[in-house]
Order: sequence, then C-alpha cells, then structure tokens
Amino acid sequence: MKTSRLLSPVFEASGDASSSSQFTLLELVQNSIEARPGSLDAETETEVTSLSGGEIVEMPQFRQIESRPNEFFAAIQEWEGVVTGVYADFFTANLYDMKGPADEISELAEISYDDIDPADRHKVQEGAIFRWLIGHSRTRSDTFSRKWMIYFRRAARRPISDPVIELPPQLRHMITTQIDAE
Amino acid sequence: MAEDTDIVQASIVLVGKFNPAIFSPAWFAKNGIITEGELKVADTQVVHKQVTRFTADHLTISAQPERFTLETTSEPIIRVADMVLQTFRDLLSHTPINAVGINYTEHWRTDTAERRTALARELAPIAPWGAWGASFRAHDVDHVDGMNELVMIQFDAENLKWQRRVEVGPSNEMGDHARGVYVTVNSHREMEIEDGVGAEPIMALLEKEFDPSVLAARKIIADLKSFSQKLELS
Repeated sequence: MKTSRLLSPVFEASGDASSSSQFTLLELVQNSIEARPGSLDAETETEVTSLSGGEIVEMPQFRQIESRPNEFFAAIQEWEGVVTGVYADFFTANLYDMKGPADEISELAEISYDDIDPADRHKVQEGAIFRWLIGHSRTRSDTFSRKWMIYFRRAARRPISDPVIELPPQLRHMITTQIDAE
Repeated sequence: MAEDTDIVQASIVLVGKFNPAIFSPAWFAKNGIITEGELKVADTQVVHKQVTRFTADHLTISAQPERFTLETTSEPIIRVADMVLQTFRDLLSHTPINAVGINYTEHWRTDTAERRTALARELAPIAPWGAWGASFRAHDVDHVDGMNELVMIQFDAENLKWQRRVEVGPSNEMGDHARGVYVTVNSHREMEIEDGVGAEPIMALLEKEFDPSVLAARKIIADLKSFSQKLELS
C-alpha cells in the first residue's frame, strides 16, 4: 500500500477521514414560523393558519430532533490542491496553503488512491481541484484524535493560479448565454 | 484554527426569489449535489410551496420564497459553496438573487472558566454598569453574570451594501458549559440586480469571496483567542 505524503512534508498523513453521521438540528425557519401562531413541538400534526393576506394554508408542525453530532472535525491546516500527474496507484499534486498567496505553491504531494474515497476516485484527473484538510476530531465523550480529509471540489472551474477576470455582470451573462446556446 | 476548536459551522444565506417546493432531497440527489448516501439518511421536515427544510448528515437546507440557506456542521466547509454554486450557477441560474451572507462559526473552550469570564469582562466591562455591575457574580462557574452576547459590526465606508458582523458569547454546544465560547462571523453583500440577470452576479461574488470571507473570520477568531490566552488571571 502506498502512503500519501507531502514531498516537502509538514505533516505525515495518517488517520481516518470519516466524520460523524448525525446532525445538529438548529432553530427552525424562524422568519416564516415565528409570525404565525401554533406550537412547534408537536410531531406530525398540521394546523390551518391564516396569513396576514387572508390566505389559508396548512402549516406543518415541525418535528424536533434531539440527536446531536457525535463527532466534530476542525481543520488546523488547509490546502487547495491541483492534480498534476496521475499514475497507477497514486497521483501528484501542487498544494496551495489557504493562508498563503493564492498563486504560490507551498507543497508538492504524492497521494495514494487508498486515501481517496472510492466514490471520488474517478475525479482524479489532471487539473482536478481538491482540498486537503488536516485537523482534529473530538467526540461527545471528549475523545480527541488527529484526522485529515481530502475533498474533491465539485464546482471549482479554474485552476487556483488563473487570474480572475472581472467582467460586468451583464456581459458575463451574455457570454454564458452564448456558450450555452452553442 | 487551533487545537481548542471543537465545532466549526458554516452557512450561506441567499436573498432573492425562490420556489421552496423544488428543493427536496431527491432533487439535490438527482442533480449530484448530495450523495445517494446522504439522500438515504435525509430527514425531511417539510417540502412545501412556502417553506422547505431537511437535514442530510451534516447538512441542513432550508428555503422560503425570499431566502435560501445551506448550512454544514462539518469540514470541508468549502462544500457549502460548491453546493450553492452547483445549484444556482449551474442549474438554476435564472433565479433572481440580490444578496449573499457567508457565515462562519467556531465553538471553543478556554483552558479555565476564569479565563472565559475574564474575556467577557474585557469585551464588556462591568464598571459602567455601576452598582448593578458590581453585584455581578464571577466565581461560581455555574452562575456567572455579565455579557451574554456581544455584536460588532463593520461597514464598508465606500460601499454600504457590504458589512461584516461578529457575534461572540458563551457556548452551550459542548459538554463543559463553563468554558465554551462561540464566535459567528457574518459577511454580507448586497447587489443591485437588473431584471432578467438572475443569479450569476451573486454566484460570481460568492465564488470569489467565500474563501477570503472564511479566512477573515478565522483571523478574527484567532486574534480573539490569542487575546484571551494572554489575559492575566487573578
């Protein structure tokens, strides 16, 4: 098994990239709900409510979820990576420190496919953009551990070193429309 | 961020004109924005023409006719930007959107309860409150009186449609209530959008501003932590 490593190492990668599977339920959609009467505690009932405009709608009663995340991950170091080479069992990448200059390569890395979520391995192509985060997780029972994760960006469209070209919104809209039409 | 950070949250709030009924877990999965695994665990509270809200793993998505919110309680927080860009730049680009808020929150624990109280006293001194302030308790960790929430706001001097809002207060999100602190940094931008332009100007702004906004938030929080750590305790 090949081990991922920074070629100018600041951290020996190892660990579990998984995170918790529960979710914190925050306050409900306050703006729409607070102005309307009715309890938010009931689980499944619905209620007929009159809005200020006289419209009658059926308001759902939100179900409170008591579960909280069992584990939290906080990053200490974060890089944006650009895949530069794809090989049999690993790929190479330029890493840009998110705290540093956007166009200055801070590290070079070799990353094993073993460290990539199988569902993401098809995204490993030259030019693909990802984030590499190193940090720690803490569980509800206060267990502390080092972790890291690699996340392939789904919406990044340009290499980090490309210049940002500022165009008026209307012109950009026209260009996009034309490209879409073609 | 530092070793003492326990919880990181991030969200993007969009203001515009939305159709809440389309934002179901199935729609996001069909378009590759959430995974099949997230779809399976999605907990839909409501999908309605007036309001949609569901959670899927660490994500919460809610929509109202005038507001769309996507939140995560887990790294990588860049994913919320990706998801919003996929939704409104790539799929629903016709959606009129005229404002965006980028929110970043950290919860952390001070090394002692006394340090959290000292930080609160520095941020909101009790002396100006006279006899009432003098009666505040500070030594019973379960009953410390004083600052509960402090908000600082900065406006761009040349562009009043930009503002940064920082809120700090005691955090109850972690087990040790006496040492928990939260800081939320909101970076808010509005734009004048002409009819028919849709989501693109705000999406371009989001793509450009998300990382800098998060970095700025982390710097504010790091400075606050550093200040806290240097406080001399009596």
